[in-house]
Amino acid sequence: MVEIDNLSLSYGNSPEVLKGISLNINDGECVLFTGKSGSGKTSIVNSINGLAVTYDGAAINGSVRIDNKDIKELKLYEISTMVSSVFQNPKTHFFNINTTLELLFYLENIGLSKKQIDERLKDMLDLFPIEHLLNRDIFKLSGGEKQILCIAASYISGTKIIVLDEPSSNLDEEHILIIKEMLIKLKEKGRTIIISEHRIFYLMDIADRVFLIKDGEIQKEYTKTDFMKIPSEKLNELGLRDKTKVNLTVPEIQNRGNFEVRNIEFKFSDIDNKLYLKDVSFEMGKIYGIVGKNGLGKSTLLRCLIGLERKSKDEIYLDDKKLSKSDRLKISSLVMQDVNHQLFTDSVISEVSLGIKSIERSYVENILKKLDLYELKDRHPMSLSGGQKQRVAIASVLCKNSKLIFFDEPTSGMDYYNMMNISHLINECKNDNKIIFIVSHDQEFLNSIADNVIYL
Amino acid sequence: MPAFQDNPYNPNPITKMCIIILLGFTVFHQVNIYFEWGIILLISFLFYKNGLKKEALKNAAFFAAFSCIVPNIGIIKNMNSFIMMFFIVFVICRMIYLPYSAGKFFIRTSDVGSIISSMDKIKVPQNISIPIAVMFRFFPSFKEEWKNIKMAMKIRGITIKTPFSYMEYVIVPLLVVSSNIADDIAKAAETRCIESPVKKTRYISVKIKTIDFLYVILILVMIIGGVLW
Repeated sequence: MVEIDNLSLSYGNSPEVLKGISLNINDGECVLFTGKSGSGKTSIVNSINGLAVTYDGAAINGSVRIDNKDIKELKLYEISTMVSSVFQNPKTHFFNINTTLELLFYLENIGLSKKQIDERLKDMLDLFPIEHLLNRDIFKLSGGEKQILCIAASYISGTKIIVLDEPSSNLDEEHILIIKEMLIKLKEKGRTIIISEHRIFYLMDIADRVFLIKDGEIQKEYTKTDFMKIPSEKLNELGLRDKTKVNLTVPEIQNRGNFEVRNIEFKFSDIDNKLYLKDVSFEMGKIYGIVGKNGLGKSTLLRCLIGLERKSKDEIYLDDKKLSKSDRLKISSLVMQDVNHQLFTDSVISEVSLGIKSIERSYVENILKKLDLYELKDRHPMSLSGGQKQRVAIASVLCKNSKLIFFDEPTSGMDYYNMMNISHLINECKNDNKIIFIVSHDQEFLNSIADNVIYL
Repeated sequence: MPAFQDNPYNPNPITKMCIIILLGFTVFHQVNIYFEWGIILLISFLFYKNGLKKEALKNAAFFAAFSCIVPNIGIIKNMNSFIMMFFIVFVICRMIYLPYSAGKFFIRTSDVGSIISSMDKIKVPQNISIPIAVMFRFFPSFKEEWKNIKMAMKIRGITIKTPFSYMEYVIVPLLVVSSNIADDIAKAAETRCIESPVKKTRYISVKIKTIDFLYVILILVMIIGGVLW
C-alpha cells in the first residue's frame, strides 16, 4: 500500500510544485494522475519512486510511505526493490545495450540465481510473448518496441508497484494499444499501477480511480464511472486529451502541386527493408502530415527529403527543376523532436539569425514578438523551458524563411493546451511560398492542423 | 530460444583491457613494422569474427594509410615548420594507433554487464566498477545524439569549413546533451538496484576462454618479437 500524507515538494527556491497531497493507493489498484503539463503529476510519480529527491534535487515535506516504510529513510536501490519505473522517453530507460541483458539486469543486481532468472524469464515470456525482442541491440529498436521492453522489464522485476510517467508520449496508436494490453495483464497479476498521463483514452478500461491535479493540488478525485461522464470539451479545457480514441479525419494526399517527389529510395543498413516513395506531389501553401507506425522510417523520410541522407537515391523536382541534395538543404528547415540538438548560440536573438546572411533586425524582432520571445531575446536558449526552446527553434525556422519546413514529432508529450498552441504557431508559418511537413503520430494534432496526410 | 549467445571469439573484458595497456608500450618503443601488421591483422580478425566486418576493414585500411603517409622522424625534422605541424598530427595518430585500435575493439564488443562482472571477479570495488560501466555506456548514446547535432548544424549551414565557429557552436548542445545522457544512464542504473550491496549474479558468466590466452600470448609475442627484431 502506498500512503501519501500531506506531501509538499519544491525544487530549489522556486514555489512549491506540490501542495499538501494526501491519498492512499491500495494493493492491486490502478490509479491515474492527470492534468495539464506542469500541474505536478510527474512530481507525484517521481516522489513515489524516489527520483524527485535523488535526481531533481527536490525538497519534500510530509511523507510517502510504501508498505509502512517511509521512503525518505530508504536508499534509491531499496525503493527500487518495491517500485519499478517506466519513464516517458523509453530511450532513457536502458543501461545495457543487449535487450536480454537489459531485462535481466535488475534480477542480476538483486542476486537471483541463474535458475531463478530463467524461471522469471520464462514466466514473463508466457505473459508477454516478446521473443522477437530478445537478444537485440537496443539502439536498433523502434520507440514502441523500447517501451514494450520497459514494461516487460517492470514485470520481470517482480515489484508490487509499477509507476509510469506518460508512457504513451512517444508511441503511435498501435503501440499504445499494445501497452494497454500489457497494463491490463499486469493488473490481472495484482500489480499496483500508478500512471501520470494526459493522453487518457487507453487507460479508461484500466484505471480504478482518477486524480485530477491542478497547480500542485488534487483538484478532484473521480471514480472511473464518474470520470467517464465528463464531456470531452470539459476535458480539453482541463488540458487533457480526448478520453475516447480519436481517428484521423484528414484526407489523403491529392497528388497535385509543383514539388514533385518522383522517387526516393533508401536502404536501411541493418535490415533488409527499403524505404520507398514514388510519384507524389506536394502543393505550396499546404501542411502535410506524414503518418505511419513507429519504426517505419518516418524520420528517415524527412532526412531524405531535406537532403541529409547521403545514401538515399532521389529524384525530386520543384517547378520542373531537379533539386540536388544540397539544393534542398538550402531551402529546408527542421524543428527536431529534441530541440536541445539544435540550439547553438548564447542568446535567443543570435540563435534565430544564425546562418542567415543580411537579415534585418526589425524583421527578427517582429518574429520574436509574434512568438512571445521578445522579452527573452538576450537569455541563453539553454536556460529556457522546454516549450520556450521549441519556440526559439520555430522562430529560427521562420527567420530562415525556407520553402520547405519540416517538423519531427512536435507534440510528443504535450497536453491539449500546448498542442493547440503549437498548432496555432505552425498555422502562422503557413503561406503560399512554403510547404510544411509534419511527422507525427498524434492524430488529434494532425486533425487540427494538417491539410493532407501521406501514409508510409 | 537462445536468450543470449556467447561468442567464442569475444575475449573477456579484462583481457581486452590488459591488451590495451600492453599495447600502450608500443607508443614509446618502436616495434618492427611487420610485427605491427601482425597485431593489426589479429585485431581485424577479431573484429571480423565478432560481426563487425566494416570495422575489420577500416582498422587495417587506416593503419595502412598511416604507415604509408607518415615518413620517418628524420625526414620530418628537416621540414619547414608549417608542414611539420601538419605532419606531427599524423605522427601522433600513428604512434597511438595500436592501443587505439585495441581500445576500439574493447568498446565495440564488450557489454556493460560483462564489464561489471569481470571487474567483480578480480575484486574491483563497486565504486570504481560502476563509474567505469557508466562511462562505457555513455559512448553509444553519445554517438546517437551526436548524429542529430551534426544534422542540425548542417541544416543551419554550420560546417567544418569554418572550424572556429564550428567549435564554438558545437560545444553548447554537446555539453547539454552529454549531461542529460549521463543523468539518464545513472538513473537507469540506480532504479535497477545497481548499488544494492547483495552479491550480484551474472546470467552470462565471464569465463576465461581459449581466445583469451591466444589473444594475450599472440600480442605479447608480437610486441617482444617486434622490439627485439
